Amino acid sequence: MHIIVVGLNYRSSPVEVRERFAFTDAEMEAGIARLVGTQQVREAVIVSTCNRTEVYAVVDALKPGLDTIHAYLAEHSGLAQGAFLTHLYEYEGEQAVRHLFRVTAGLDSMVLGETQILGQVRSGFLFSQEQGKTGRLFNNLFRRAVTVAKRAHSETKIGENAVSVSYAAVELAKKIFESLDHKTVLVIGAGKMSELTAKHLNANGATKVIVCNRTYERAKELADKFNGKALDMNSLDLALKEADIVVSSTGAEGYVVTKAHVQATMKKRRHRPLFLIDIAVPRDLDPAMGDLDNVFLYDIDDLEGVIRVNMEERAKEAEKVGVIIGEELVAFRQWMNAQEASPLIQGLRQKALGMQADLMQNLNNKVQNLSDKEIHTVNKLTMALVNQLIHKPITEIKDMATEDDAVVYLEAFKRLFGLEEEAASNRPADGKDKPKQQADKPKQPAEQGNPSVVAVQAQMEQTRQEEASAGARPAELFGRYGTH
Amino acid sequence: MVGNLFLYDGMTFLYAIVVVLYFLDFISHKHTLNRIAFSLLAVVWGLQSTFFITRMTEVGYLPLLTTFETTLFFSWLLITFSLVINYFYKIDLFAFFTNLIGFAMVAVDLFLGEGASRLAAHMQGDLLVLHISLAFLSYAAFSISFIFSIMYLIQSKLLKEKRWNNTFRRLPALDKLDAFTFRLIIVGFPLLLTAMILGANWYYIQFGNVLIWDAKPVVSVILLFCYVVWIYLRLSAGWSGRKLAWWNVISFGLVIINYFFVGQFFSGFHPW
Repeated sequence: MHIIVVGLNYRSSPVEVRERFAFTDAEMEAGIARLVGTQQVREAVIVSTCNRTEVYAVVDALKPGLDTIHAYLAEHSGLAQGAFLTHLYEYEGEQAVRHLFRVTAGLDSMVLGETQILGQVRSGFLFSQEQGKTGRLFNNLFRRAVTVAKRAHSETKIGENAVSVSYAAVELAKKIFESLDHKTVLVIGAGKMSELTAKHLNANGATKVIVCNRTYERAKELADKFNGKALDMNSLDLALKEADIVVSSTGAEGYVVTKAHVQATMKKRRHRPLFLIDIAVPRDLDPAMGDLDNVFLYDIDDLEGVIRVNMEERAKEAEKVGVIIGEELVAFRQWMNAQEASPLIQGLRQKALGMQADLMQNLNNKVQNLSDKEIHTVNKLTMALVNQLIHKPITEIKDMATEDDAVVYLEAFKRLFGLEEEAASNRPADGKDKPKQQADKPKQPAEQGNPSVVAVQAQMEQTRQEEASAGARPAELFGRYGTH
Repeated sequence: MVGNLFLYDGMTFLYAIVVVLYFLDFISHKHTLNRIAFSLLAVVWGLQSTFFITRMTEVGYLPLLTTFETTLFFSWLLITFSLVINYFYKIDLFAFFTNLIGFAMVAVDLFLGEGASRLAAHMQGDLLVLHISLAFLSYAAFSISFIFSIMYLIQSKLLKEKRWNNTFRRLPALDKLDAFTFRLIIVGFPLLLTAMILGANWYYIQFGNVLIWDAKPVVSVILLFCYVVWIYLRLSAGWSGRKLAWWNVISFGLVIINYFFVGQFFSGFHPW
């Protein structure tokens, strides 16, 4: 089994190609069903946003799996494979897992560290899970991916610094006012940009909004959105006196507010700090007013400067996120290996029990006239022997499967106990020609198709057996608990 | 006494490490360093308290009489303040600035040596101890308000010059710094006033008149006046921002002069 990802994003492909790969919900449902319907793909999740489309899949074999996905993508997009294959990136195994972790943590996004992508990945996964098109592997993997993103945002500052103009304005405002609660925002010029900035300031606590505009109607319209007050330009002085934060973006040619203007108001407002943002070009606010004490004036370039510095900060934080991703990768690898171990353990158990059953058969054939009680005793003793013999290897391999060299250990385990041929052949044949002992596990062959059900079954079976043998040797109970 | 001195040296050494750690954190912004420094600072505080108490049992009075003792008490107060404020308000960089002063005090003490180990009996008394400890409490409050004013000036300079560096990022909002400055002066002012009244009272009981023409009380009255004016400017004259912060910085300059120089060189009576 392999985890693979096939995708394209804003870096690998132009928008003309990307738009062909967008998915609606219905298309996604059909797509996942199509993929998992093929023999190649066991689990599938499609993540589709405006910047990327990615298909995550668990496939049995690499090449046929990739071919299936390519064929499906060609069908979906209506493009010939040759037309888009060069735009795709493909990762397999640990690289695919790393890629998923990077994507959810926002490291692969256009705006480094953004959080939207987390929601998008999660909903893509949940969508597929609802359709029953994910299994044990992806359920664990995507849960982990969400953990990575959450850790990245709580343990580092990757998402902390503002990277848009309106957020940068809020960030600056918060360096002058500890809290924006009860602060008054004055919006001069009811444009789109000032509305957005006012909206962010408003959301951060500045509930009082005054809108000043050349035409009163437009001012009123915008003010109503914030439950604010609308004024026309003649009342600007009045508004300045009340305001703590000024956002200006008019289309005026000259300065709307001059230094003398502000100087006069500062006295009236008892020198409370005044924070002004000028997002208009040409500028509305006379830059000379910045010299006044307690007056803090910033224009659009200054805000861009804040964003530039913040981007650098995020890039620095991204390195710390890389460390988190590394840790989670190791944890996932350990989990994967532990998953590899369980079929081996089951194989060993079956093999051992099979031998014991054969032996009982032999005994029955060779020695006649044994009483039921004698047979029962021999059966019980040989069972105990078998269980004791395989107990230690089983507990050990569970531990070793989580260690660094797990792959080697698992391979060695396979060879030592001669499990190779079984591992290959036992799934389809399993349970058919096994003697009596296997009779009490009749469900196994029926559940073949669904690996996770088999695993759960095996797990339950295993616990049952362990409990049974533990009953015989209660002293070892604790030892075993420690290894779970 | 040997054990005591050892305690003192150990404390100084540890305190030096704390300041260096805070400094490294200031330069490179490492959160771990900050946390280590904070816990070490708590240890330094513990050591100082122990030192203080053992010294008290040794000399048999509240050790607040010699320059050495008061300076130590001063640094202890600063550490206490910085621990408390840091714990409850989480103001970045504040602990660094405060402990620069706190450590300077301890370092000064190192050069002063043990100081006069014991004062004449007539120089002791409850009123005197109250006078001194209140005076130092007010000094500590003023020192910390000074630190907030300095932080205010730095932050407003960075804001005006549009320098979005690490220091800018870490310093708190201007109005928060201003609010802390105000609170501390409001606390410091009545403390100093009370200390002066108690001092005069004690002197009167001890010597039968009021000490007026000594340099120390004269400068202290000026100091008191400076802070009254500060409070007036803020509350009634509508000053704020940098001007007010500068006023506070200058007033604190006077505190330092009063503490280190007036006592040492100009006062006939106050040796500390």
